[in-house]
Amino acid sequence: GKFTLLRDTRTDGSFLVHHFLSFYLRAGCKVCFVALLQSFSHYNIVAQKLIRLDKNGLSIRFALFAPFLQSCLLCNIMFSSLKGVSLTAAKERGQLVFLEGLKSCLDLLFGEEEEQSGQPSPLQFISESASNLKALFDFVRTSLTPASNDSWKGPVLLVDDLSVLLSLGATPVAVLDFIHYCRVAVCSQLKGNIVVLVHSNEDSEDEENELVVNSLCHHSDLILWVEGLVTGFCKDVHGQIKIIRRLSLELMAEQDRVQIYQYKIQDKNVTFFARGLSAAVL
Amino acid sequence: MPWGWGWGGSGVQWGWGGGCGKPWGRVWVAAGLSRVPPPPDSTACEGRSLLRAFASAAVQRAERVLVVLFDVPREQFEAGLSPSVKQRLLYRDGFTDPLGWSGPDPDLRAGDFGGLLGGGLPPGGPLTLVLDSLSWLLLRLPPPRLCQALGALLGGPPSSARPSRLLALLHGDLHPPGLLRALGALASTQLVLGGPPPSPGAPRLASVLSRPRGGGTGRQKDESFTLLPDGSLRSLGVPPPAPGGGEEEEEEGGRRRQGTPRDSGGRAPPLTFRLRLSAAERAARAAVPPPYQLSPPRRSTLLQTPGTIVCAPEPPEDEDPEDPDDDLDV
Repeated sequence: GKFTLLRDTRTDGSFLVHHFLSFYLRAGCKVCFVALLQSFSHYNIVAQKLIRLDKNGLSIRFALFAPFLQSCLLCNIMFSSLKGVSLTAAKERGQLVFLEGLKSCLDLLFGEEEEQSGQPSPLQFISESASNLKALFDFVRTSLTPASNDSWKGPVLLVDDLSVLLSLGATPVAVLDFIHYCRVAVCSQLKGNIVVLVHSNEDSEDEENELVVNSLCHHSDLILWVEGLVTGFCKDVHGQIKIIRRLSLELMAEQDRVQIYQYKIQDKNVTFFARGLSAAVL
Repeated sequence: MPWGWGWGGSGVQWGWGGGCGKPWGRVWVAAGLSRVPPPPDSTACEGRSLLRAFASAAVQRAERVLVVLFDVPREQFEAGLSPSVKQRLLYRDGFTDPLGWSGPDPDLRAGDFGGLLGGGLPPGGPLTLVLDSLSWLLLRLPPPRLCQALGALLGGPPSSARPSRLLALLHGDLHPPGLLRALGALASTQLVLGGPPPSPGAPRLASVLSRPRGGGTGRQKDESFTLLPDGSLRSLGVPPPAPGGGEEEEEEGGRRRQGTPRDSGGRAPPLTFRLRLSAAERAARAAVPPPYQLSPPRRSTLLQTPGTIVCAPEPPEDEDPEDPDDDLDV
């Protein structure tokens, strides 16, 4: 299994989360989505709008997404479909396990106390003195452990985003412990993939967040670093993405490979192009 | 303290220690270190491959190598190692369940240093302890307790089970500078990795900071090295000075100083022009006489020729009939 880190600086990298969510659902993987930032309906609406690539743009964009595909051991992309993905349907057929963090936090803090047959809330660290995220890890492990009648292709854990856990009061080490155990369970034992989004800022004084980000960078097999342009806002180029493939973790005497592209987010798709070659320039 | 850490300024540090005082393996040091986090457009400087290379070299010297893993699983640590080396490495698995979340009897828990050597070790040569990584432990255990525990591990009575040296990987970008300095003071040797090489296959840079056992001033030595595909290490010695280097690389206290801004590899970016003169050009320039110095033949010619001063008045200026200034009646 591979650990993919989505990192954004001076911009919003959540479009990558939507991409990977649709990507893995279309591939037939079992997905556990820990959504701490937005509601279920938000992700559902975006997933239904996202379409697959058409034939004309397939060859160029496939090359750009090749690193993404290589990081997924169980990919089975169907490029013929032009429809979006319904998260509601995926949830009903058991392919998607969705933890809506916004709702869970409210229920935990302001909801009535209910006994849930010995199943604590995954976010119980908010209300309890214990600062570890073991309950959240237990939720992830239970969700992705394959059942006897499961026919899904492989487990995937998606987290949006990890920095919210720090804001909710978890310590950086608790967050790192959670990710550590997820790597053990999902990547090592279940041979699945993990995709995690974190925010970072080079000039940030948030040492806890930078500690989490730097630590995750050391353990990532693939880093997708989305950055806003240093020159500011541009109508035709919304930012640049740096794809860092950590070959040094896999092979001796190999250096990490870095590719940089720029991108533009459209209504139903994202277009990538080489730096300086946006459609507005050509 | 007979053990040490090494730390790379570009974000990865790793260390080594020796209880017997003998240098272990080769020391790869180099110039042009970057003491700041890697710039956004370069990859992190990883040190695990170097740690693997040293473990591999120890195995090939018929030493026992015990690898204690917290950061990565066994498959990832031994990726790229030859099958013969993989067979002979001993492991303690602190990666799978270090906090006891998954079951009551994990192989190794964080802080359980007695378990490092538990379970018995096969007889053999000196024992080298490889720790991947020390950063994982430092984030979860109080540094004084950790240092004491590791010191007790290494400072016990001589026995076949006592490690003679400790190699630890330390990620420098995860810890405050004060802690790094404190750990450096405990180490007999530090290996500081420089930034990633400027191009694939280019030598990597590292600096070795040695502290003599009897105390005194430490020494710093820079070297470059390359990692071969079979996992071995090849030292390339002291790296050559940067091309065009001159006054800006004058040393202060015997240490190379970084003058001009460098890229993450510690070398100046390639330029399409040259700012400095070569030795031949400097010699040619020195050979050209300045214009204010007259050669003896020229001086004698000027002195012999009778000089005359001719005054040639300038022609009158053209008067412009349309000059608007003429309208002024001052």
